[in-house]
Amino acid sequence: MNCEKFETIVSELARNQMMEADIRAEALAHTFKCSDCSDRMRDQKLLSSGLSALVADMNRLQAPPQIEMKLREAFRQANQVTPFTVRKRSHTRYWLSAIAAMLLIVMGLAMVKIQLNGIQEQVADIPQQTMPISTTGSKGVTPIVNNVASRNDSHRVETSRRRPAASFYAANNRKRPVRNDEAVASNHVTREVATDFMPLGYMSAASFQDGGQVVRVELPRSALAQFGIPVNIERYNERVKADVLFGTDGLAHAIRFVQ
Amino acid sequence: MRPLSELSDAELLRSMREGDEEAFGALYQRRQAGVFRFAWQMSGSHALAEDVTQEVFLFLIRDGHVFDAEKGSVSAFLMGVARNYVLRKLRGERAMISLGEDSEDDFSADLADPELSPLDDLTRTETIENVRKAVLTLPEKYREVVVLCELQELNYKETAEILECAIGTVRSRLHRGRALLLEKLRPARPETEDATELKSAGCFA
Repeated sequence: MNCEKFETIVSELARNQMMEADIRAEALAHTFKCSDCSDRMRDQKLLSSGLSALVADMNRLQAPPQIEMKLREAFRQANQVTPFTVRKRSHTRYWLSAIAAMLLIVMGLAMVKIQLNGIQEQVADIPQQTMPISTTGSKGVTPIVNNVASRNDSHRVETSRRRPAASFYAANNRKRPVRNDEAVASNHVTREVATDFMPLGYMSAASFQDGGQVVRVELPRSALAQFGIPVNIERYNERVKADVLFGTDGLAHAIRFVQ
Repeated sequence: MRPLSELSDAELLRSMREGDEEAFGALYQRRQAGVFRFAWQMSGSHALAEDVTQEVFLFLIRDGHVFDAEKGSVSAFLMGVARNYVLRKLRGERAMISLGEDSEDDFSADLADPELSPLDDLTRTETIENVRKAVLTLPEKYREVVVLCELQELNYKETAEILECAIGTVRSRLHRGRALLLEKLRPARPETEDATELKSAGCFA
């Protein structure tokens, strides 16, 4: 054995680690022949004894007893609280979720109901119009509806209230934007098809700002021809319904035909 | 039913996980000293050793299920956890104690052997203190091997399990660690210049 080989095993030799008997014998024999390696061996043994002394010195060391008390307390808490808490949490979470879902549903329904009520109240709260009605239509005109402001007939009132705007669009050859609520009222209540309002004489859009009133009348079908609407000759003697728009001045401002 | 003292660490851990506080107490009593000493030897700080011991066993209470018997013993598992906590604290807080301000952590005086004469005791205490300081100044990777193999007196296999490395790595680190310790302790011994030169030259007989 040479010093290089000895160097690799000297620490294990000094620590009395298990090794092959031949190698151990060779290493020990080498220390008798080489003073340096003998010194290395001595240093390593001194180090081992110093470490052993340190081990012996610290052998009685242990953690303070209060740590065990704290840990036992933590152990008890972990084993008592955790299962109960988990179960309680899971139930609580379940019920909270259910309540939240119920609240959302109730709030949603309430919102829908409030919106519907709001629409109905808007319609019902329109003040009754008390304008004088002038029946200065042409000869043979038969007024059919004269109480358009009746509170019970809200859809009709709604219709009458919006007519001036409709005629305004008609008078200016503009495409009138379709309002959903009006369309609904038209489709579900009146179920009628009507032409746009056609102006009677000269008027301006400003004349409609003060509102007005619509009166349903029946006219001879021949009256259609006066407004450039084609007339079926076979039904020439029949009568046709029309809505006449009266302004606040009591004069007829526009007319539309209804089927 | 067998007494707790006859149960293995793994059996105690299983009982502990089923809520047996006495099993936990038995396991703690069996392993706390090793964990505490390891933390103290690695850090030189009594307070840190206490904290680490507490945290290791709290970890065992909370996450004892992560122990895998196929990977090693409960002891090695606890030492591995302790090692992680110690290294984290040392790296995070730079808590390596100042060697000159270590009077409150000096246990040697408290544990003096009553059978030794005052002079012997003084020499012995000085030697122990020198070795302890030298160990604390080793780089971490050598220190932990020296602590586990020399101070905790674990074999290479157990140390390799704790450090999660190969046995050959443990051997080489221990060899290097001891060499470093000798270098640190050597100035304490009188040595001639010639002897130093001879050692460095070596021989190839």
